[in-house]
Amino acid sequence: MRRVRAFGLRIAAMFGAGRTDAEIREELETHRSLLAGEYERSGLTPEAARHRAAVELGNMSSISDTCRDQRGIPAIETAIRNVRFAGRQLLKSPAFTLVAIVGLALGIGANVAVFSVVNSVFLQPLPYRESDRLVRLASTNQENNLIRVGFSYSRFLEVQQRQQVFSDLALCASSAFTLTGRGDPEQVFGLRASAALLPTLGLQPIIGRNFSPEEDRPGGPRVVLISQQMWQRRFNRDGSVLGQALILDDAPYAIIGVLPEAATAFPLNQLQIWVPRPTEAAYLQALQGGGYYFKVIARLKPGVSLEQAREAMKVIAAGYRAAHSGNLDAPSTIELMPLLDDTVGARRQSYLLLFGAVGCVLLIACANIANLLLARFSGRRRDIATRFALGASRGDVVCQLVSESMLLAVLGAVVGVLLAEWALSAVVALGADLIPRVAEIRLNATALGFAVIATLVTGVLIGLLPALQVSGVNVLDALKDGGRGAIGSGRRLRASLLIFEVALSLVLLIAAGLLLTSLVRLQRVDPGFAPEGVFTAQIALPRHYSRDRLIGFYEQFHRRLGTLPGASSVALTDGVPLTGAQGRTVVAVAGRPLSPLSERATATRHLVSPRYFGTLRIPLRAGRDFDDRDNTRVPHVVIINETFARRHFPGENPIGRTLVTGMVQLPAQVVGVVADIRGENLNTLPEPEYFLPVLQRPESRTNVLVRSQLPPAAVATLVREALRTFDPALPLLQPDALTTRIAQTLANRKLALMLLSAFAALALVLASLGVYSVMAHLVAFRTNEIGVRMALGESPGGVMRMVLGQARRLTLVGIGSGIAGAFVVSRLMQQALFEVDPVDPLVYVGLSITLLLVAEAASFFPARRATRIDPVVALRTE
Amino acid sequence: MNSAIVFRHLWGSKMTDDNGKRVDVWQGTLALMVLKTLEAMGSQHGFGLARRIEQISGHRLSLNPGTLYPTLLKLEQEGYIASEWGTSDNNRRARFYHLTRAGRRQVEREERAWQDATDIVARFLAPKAAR
Repeated sequence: MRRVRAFGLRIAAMFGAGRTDAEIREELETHRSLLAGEYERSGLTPEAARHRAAVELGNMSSISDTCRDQRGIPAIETAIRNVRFAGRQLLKSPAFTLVAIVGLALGIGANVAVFSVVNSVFLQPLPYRESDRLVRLASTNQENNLIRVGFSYSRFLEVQQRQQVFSDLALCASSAFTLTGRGDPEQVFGLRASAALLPTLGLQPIIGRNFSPEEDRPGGPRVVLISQQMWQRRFNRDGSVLGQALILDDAPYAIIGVLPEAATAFPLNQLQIWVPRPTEAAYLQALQGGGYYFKVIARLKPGVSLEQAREAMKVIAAGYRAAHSGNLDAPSTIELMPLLDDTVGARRQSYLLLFGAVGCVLLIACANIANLLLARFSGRRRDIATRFALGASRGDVVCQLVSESMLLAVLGAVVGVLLAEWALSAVVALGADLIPRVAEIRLNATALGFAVIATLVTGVLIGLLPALQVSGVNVLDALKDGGRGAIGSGRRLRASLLIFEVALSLVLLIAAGLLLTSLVRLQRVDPGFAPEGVFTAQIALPRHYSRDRLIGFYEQFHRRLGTLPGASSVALTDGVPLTGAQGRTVVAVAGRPLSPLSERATATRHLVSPRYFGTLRIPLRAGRDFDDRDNTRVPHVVIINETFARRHFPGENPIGRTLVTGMVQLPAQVVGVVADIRGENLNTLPEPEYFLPVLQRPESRTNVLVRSQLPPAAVATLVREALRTFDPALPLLQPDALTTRIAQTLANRKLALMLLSAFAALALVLASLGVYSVMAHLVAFRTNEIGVRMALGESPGGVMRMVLGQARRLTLVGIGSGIAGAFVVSRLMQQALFEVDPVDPLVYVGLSITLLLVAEAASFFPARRATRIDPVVALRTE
Repeated sequence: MNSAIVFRHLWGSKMTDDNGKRVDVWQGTLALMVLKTLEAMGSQHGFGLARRIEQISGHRLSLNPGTLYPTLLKLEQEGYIASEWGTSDNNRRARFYHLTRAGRRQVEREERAWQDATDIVARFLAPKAAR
C-alpha cells in the first residue's frame, strides 16, 4: 500500500505536484549555511567557513538531481523532457511541422480507414451466434459453368432427411413485394424464410416472436417480421405495431415481430421484411424439377468439422443423383462455404489490393519525412556533438531525436484518425450498394489499436534511421568543421530512401494504370446494342393478378406506351441487358432425342414484347420480330440469338424448327434469329439466348424500355401517368437512363479504381516532393564544390546538367526496382484485369516516363538554384 | 512484518566510518536511523538530523546530504514523515520534518525487524567468533 501511495506521489510530482526544484535547492542552501555557521563558530573566517561548507556539500546540483530522481520517475521524466524539447523544436519550424503532420495524417488516416473497412467487412465475424459454425449450402456444376448457385427444394428435403452433421438447417429465398396502403406504393425487398432461419443464426426478434410451426406449414396464416428500420421509420418504434397489418402484394400480413439489425443485413442487402414459407416464392415446376432456387443456411453440429460435413454432403449428393436423375441439379455437387466467405469472399482480393496500396502510400510518406528529418537532424550535428562531449550516450541522443519523430507521428495520427472517421462515413454513404456488410463498418477498438501500432511503427521508422545516422558522428570532426560538411554524410541513406520512394510509387502507378486500362477497354467493348437515348424502369405486378389481367396489362400498357409523346420505340422485357443477373434455364430441340432435364443444354431466357429488338437496335439476322398477333391465341413462337443458332443448328436453318423451352417444357417455333449482345457482363462473351413473347408467357416482373428524345425525368413522369391509368397502386421502380443503369453495374470496379488512383496520385506527389528535398540538400551540400567548378569555368548549363543527371540516375534506379516490383504485383492482380497483359509494355513504359518527367521537374528547382551559386560567396564560406 | 523487509534493499550509496574506510550499509538502516532520531527529537530540519545521527553514532558515521535528502523525500512519499517550512537558528527558511502516526508504527516495526535480522546474523557470526 505504502509503495502504491509513494508511486502515486511520484507520478503526481511529474506534473508539478509536491516539492519543487526550487524548494529542494533552498533546503540544500539552508543546509550549507548552517554548516558554514558551524565552521565559523569553530573559529574559521566567514569566507573560509563558507568555502569549506561548499566543498563538503560537494556538487549541489548533483544532489538535487538525486532528489529529483527520488521525487519523480526518472525514465518517464526523461521522456517528458524529450517530448517537450521535441515540441519546442517542431514549433521552431512550423512549415516543416505542418508538412510532416499533413503527410503523416494522410498516410495514417488512409490506412486506418482502409483497415477499418477490411476489418469490419472481412475480419470481424458475422453478427450471429458462433458465426464461424454457419455455412451456406450451394450447388456447383463446373461443366455448365454454374458455380455456387442456389439449392433446389427437392435436394433440400433430401439433405434435411438424411444429414447428421448440422444442428440447424434453414431454407430461404429473397423476394420483392409491393407495399400499399401506407402512402405511395413502394417496393420492399424481403426474405421468405423458414421458421428455422432465426434460430439457425442464433437471433431473436427484438419484440414479438418468430414464425410458429403452423405459420411455417404450406397454406399457413400470412404473417410478417419487419426490420428495425421499418419499425423506426413507419411506426416510430411503437410497441403496438404487433398485430397491425401490412398490405403486401395486395394481401394483408399480420406483423408478429421486429427483426434485429443483424437479421436484415442478411445476406447482403438491407432487407425490410421476412415472411414465412419460402416455397411459396417458386412455381410448382421449380419446386419439383430441381431448379436452383433457394438459399440454404446450416449450422454445423458441435464437434463436426467443415471437412466432415463436406464428406457427408458428397454421400447425400450421390444419393440424390441416383434418386432424382431427371432433375436439373442432379449432376451438380453440394458445396459448403463458411457464411463469412460466402458473404464477402469475392471482394477480398480487391480490398487486400487497396490495403496494400494504402500501406505503400504510408511507406512513401515515411520515407519522405525520414528524409526531411535526416536533413533537420544533420543541421543539429554540432549540438549533438556537444551533448556527446558533455557525457550523453548515443542512446540518449537517439531517444531524443526519435522523440521528435514520435511526436510528429502522434500528431499526424490524431489528425489522421479524425480524417479516417470522416472518410468512413463517406465510404458508408457512397458504398451502400457496393460493399457487403457496409452497415457494420466503423472505427472500432481494433481499428484504433491498429492506429496506435501504425503510429508507433511510423514514429520509429521515420526517426530511427536518421537518428542513428547522425548520432554515429565523430565528436571531434563534427565540432571542428562547424557542422557544415556533415550535411553530406547520410547521403547514401538519403539516396536509398529516394530510390525506395520512387520504386514504390511506380508500383502503385502501374497497378492503377493496369486497372484503368482494363476499365477503358471494358467500356469500349461493343455490347451489340445501343443503350444511348433509352429510358428504363421496373414494374412489379401484383401476384394476385390473374393470367388474363396480366395479359391485359401487357397488351394495353405496351400500346399505351407507344402513344407517349417523344417516344420513337417502346418495349417491355423481363430483364434489361447489362443491369443484373440473367435467368438461365434448360432448352431442347424438338424432334431430337429428349434428354432428362439434368443433361439438357442451358440458355438464357427472355420474355419480351414486340419491338424489343428495334428499341435496343439489336439487328435481326433472319426471320421476323414478334408482333401483336403473337399472343395466347396462336401457337407459341421463339426468337434465338446467333450463338444459340450456331450451337444447336450448325449448318441448318433454324427458322421453323421447334424448341422445348424451360422447366415447363412448352414447345415454341423459331421465327427469327437476332444478333448476339453482351447481356450478362461486358467482359463475358455472348451466351446462347432465346426470347419468348411476353404475351404468350406473361409473368409478374417487367421492365419498360422507351427510346425517346426527352430527358429521363420527363419520360418517367409520362410513364408513371400511363401506369396510373392502368392501376394506381403500381409503383414505377428505378426510373433512369439505361446508360446510367449500366454505368452503375461498373460502379464497384470504378470505386476500387478511384481509390487506387487516388493513392497512386498521392504516391506520385509524395515521391516528387522526395526528389525535390533530396536534390535540394545535395545541392546545399555541394555548394562549395559547385562554386569551385564555376570558378574554374564550368557554365551554368553544365552545373544544371550535373545536378539533373544525379537526380536522373537515382530516379532511374528507383524506376528499375519499381518495374521489378510491378511484375510481381501485377501478376497477383491478374484476376481484376480485363484484356490487359499484366506486363503491358505501354502501361509500364508510359508510367515510367511520366514518373521520370515528374522527378525531372522536381529536381529542376534545386538544379536552378545550383546555377545561381556565386563562386565568390561559396568559396569565401570555406 | 519480517526481517526480509530490512534485507530487501541494498543501498547503493556509502557511509564512511571515522577511519575513512567505506562500508556498504543496508538501506533500511538509514531510514530507521532517521525515523528513530525524529521519534526522539520531535521536529527537526535536515542539517540538525544529520548532525544528530553523526553524534549518536559516536562520529563514526558522516552523513552525505546526497543520501540524506532523497531518503527524507522517500519517507515523506511513503507517509512516515511529514514536513513544513520553519525558521532555523540562523534565521533561514528551513524544512522541518516530524514523524506521522504511520511513522511511529513503522519505527516499531522496523525496530523489531532489525532486531530479528541482527539476531539471525549474530547466530551465524557467534560460532565463527568462538572458533
